Amino acid sequence: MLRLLIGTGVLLMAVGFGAAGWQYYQTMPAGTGDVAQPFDPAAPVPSQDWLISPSGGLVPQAEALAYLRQDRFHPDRSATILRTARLIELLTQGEKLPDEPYLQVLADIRAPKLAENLCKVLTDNLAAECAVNSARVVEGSVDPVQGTAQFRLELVYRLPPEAEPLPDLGAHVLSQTSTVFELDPGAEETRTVEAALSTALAQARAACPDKGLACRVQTLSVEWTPDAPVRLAARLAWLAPLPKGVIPAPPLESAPGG
Amino acid sequence: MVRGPISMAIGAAVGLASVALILSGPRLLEAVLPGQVLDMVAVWAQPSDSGRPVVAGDSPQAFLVDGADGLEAVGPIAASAGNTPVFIADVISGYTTRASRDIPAEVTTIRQIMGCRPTPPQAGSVVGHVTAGASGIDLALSTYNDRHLAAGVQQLVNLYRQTGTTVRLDVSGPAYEAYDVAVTETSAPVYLVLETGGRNRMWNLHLAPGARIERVVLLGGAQAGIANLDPVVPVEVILDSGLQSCGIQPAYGLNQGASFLRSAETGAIPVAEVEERLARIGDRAAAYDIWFRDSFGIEASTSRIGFDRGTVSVVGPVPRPEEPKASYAPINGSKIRMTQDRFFEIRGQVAEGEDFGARVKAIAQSFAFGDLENLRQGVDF
Repeated sequence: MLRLLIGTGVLLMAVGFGAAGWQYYQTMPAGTGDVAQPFDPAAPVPSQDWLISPSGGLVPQAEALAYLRQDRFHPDRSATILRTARLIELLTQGEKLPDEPYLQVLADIRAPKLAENLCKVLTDNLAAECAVNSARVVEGSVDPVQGTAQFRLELVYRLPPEAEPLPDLGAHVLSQTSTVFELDPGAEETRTVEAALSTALAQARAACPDKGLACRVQTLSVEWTPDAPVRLAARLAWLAPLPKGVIPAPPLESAPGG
Repeated sequence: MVRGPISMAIGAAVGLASVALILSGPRLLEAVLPGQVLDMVAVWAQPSDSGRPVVAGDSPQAFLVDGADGLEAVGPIAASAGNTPVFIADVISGYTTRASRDIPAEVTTIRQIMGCRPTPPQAGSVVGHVTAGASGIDLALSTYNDRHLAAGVQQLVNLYRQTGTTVRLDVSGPAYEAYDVAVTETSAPVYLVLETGGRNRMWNLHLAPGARIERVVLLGGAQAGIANLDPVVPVEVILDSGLQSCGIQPAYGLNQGASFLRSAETGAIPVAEVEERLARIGDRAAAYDIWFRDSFGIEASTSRIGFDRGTVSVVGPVPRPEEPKASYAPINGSKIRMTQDRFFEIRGQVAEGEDFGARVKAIAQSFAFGDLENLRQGVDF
């Protein structure tokens, strides 16, 4: 009798916990990334993961890692393209646009199609590797009369190693700056979104200070609409020697944002 | 020798029931237990004194809350003339709110009337004006259009991008929400004006012996229908879309407990803004009163019977103890007349691949070039 009781108890526990475990498993987020972390073993990995800002404080860890770890993608190192596109660009040959209520969700599902050529621009001009992190339609941006919508495309990338290795990180500070510029519509360099991105990359690199060491493009954004001024923005980061009077010390606790 | 296997069988049955409950949730209980038992369980499970069972000495007024969102029935009460609460048990026998699995026997599709004026009531008839708030009684009937399907596809896309699976996808078209109307008026034919807002509404009619219905006008709602009405009684419908195109905006003054009035009392809103907004609300209510009086001979604001949250309205007096009450008529097996959107379905009665969820998946698949895997996005940092 005792065995039976124990057996029933164990069975109930197994069934109960098993069901709960199954439920937990069902609600677990699956690996949603369609792009595996590239992790390039050939890329140099710096010996420290913190940096000092010109004011003597610690650079937020996410920003420091986005600058330092070029062996892998980092969410804080990205190129964001906000572009207007015609919805028929999302169709395959012979396909027709669905009824108006479905345009928004069709655009959202097929938005990655618009990012297909953008990674090539990045790898041709700046990056060692690039991937589309997200491609979505901007909610409420579908214009059924014009047949257009606005899309937000986010690419992540990693940079190739510079010819010179990084200097002593403990003896340098990380300087950063943001730069914004506008290009007139109709020019050759803004005719397509790919051309605009290419121009943005060139402009961003040109904005690097001459004396800055290992100047890197941390983020880049392009707002492109046909026949409208193109707005480009970039955030650059580079190393500079420690200012006089600043003494480097490793952090005793996590950096802000780390 | 026999007790061992019997105990094991009981243990296994309890285990399987636990698994089924965990996986299916409370819907399983609704499928197994009778409605009366579920009603009792629902009352026992109430966490606070809202919805507590009636005890001797309670008045119906004790179950009516003048809240921030309007008048709310928090117990077994119905709205009656002058919007005064009465106990449901005093007007309807056999009442239940368990209708989520009810399947009608016959469904007839009706359409909105042309124009903005329903047929007026005949001289000598009583006009009963019922307004329905949220009842929480969702039926197995739903109706939807391409916009609902597109929203379902977007829900699927978001879920798939978040979890990589559609296993937990729970989408359905907007259900009809039931609202019960008891008619205890027997002195004259009753012309019913049943008014709702926003969602799909299914009016369920319960007549006391001797009650006669002259005509029913369904006002408002995305879609609307009526159950348990004699098929010879005419029904006229003006939905939200029809009211809008007629320039008619149902409007009423605020209840004393409305959040806006409370905020105004505390001085949180400038006096000028309070006065301006109250004047605007008053103007709208007055305009609606005029249209209502011209159409039905009574004012909407003074004739409405219905709380902002509740399940039953009563047209007519509360029957005396010796008089018969209205008897509850279930939607299950009833005859229904209703307006419908492009697609209509009864849960569990739809051919495979033709329900809302299957349509959503099929559309998502076709947009994703035949494979939902194409929905995946994101880099694994």
